[in-house]
Amino acid sequence: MKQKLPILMLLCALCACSSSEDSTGDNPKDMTDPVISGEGITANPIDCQVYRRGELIPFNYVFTDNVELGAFNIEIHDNFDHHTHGTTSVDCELEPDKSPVAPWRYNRDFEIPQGSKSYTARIDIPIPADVDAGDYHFMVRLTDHSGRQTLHAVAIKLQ
Amino acid sequence: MSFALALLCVCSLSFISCKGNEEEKPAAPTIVIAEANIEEESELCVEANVKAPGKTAAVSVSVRSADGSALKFTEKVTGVAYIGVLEVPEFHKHFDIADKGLTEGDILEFTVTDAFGQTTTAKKSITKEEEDEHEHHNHE
Repeated sequence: MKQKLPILMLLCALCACSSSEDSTGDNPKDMTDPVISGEGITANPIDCQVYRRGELIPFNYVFTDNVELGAFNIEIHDNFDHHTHGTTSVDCELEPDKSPVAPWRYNRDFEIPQGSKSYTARIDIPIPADVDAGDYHFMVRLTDHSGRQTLHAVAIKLQ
Repeated sequence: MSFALALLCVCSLSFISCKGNEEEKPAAPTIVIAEANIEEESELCVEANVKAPGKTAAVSVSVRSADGSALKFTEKVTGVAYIGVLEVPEFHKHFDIADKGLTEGDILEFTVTDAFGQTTTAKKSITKEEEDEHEHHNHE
């Protein structure tokens, strides 16, 4: 037993201090952002689509990550002032700029099952009937388990 | 003798190994405030880029009077898009400031604390969006 004790102590010390993970418990070597795509599905919404107030936006996108997905957020805000976002790649025809009266504001977090490297998100988002019509931005923020985030902005219009 | 030697090895390895971990403490959060605008009299539009190599643990937005004497508004920012992330590429939120008495020239304080307890606060003087300011601007 006396001979095994030093070996046991050595193993304990190595286990306690040799972890390559940071204190947040995540993989510090993950340098790849998660991906938002329409691979294998019909992605929705996409740029320049028009929706009617009181109806639904059938959100449908595929999320993938090289290690593990985390969670995602959907946020919708008006674009009555014609601002742009870094990921906006398509120029849609815009209505004349205006001041918001009752703009639609939507902001909700969604969980992704633990351990997922791929996840197909399918959510029906009801559009309130009494909000301002006009141009809107539909924002998707996808986070992976290590904290990396990808932003996808889509320009839509409400009638 | 062998026991003493093993004990010495354990202590040395622990010291070296743990010292290495301490040196891995990431850089403190950085914040660049792009916009702090009063819109429609009742909303404060805040746009910023946040980087937190140690992951965001807490994010808050406060507004003080220009001389710093009065705290007029404060709100914690929560949600998966803002907490537990290495970066918020386009922070863009509208805060309800009705009846808070915010005026042009007040100071916005944007504070981020990471998972290592490191806190950074960025400040910006609040402006007011003019009617003719409805022009193209980029949120990035």
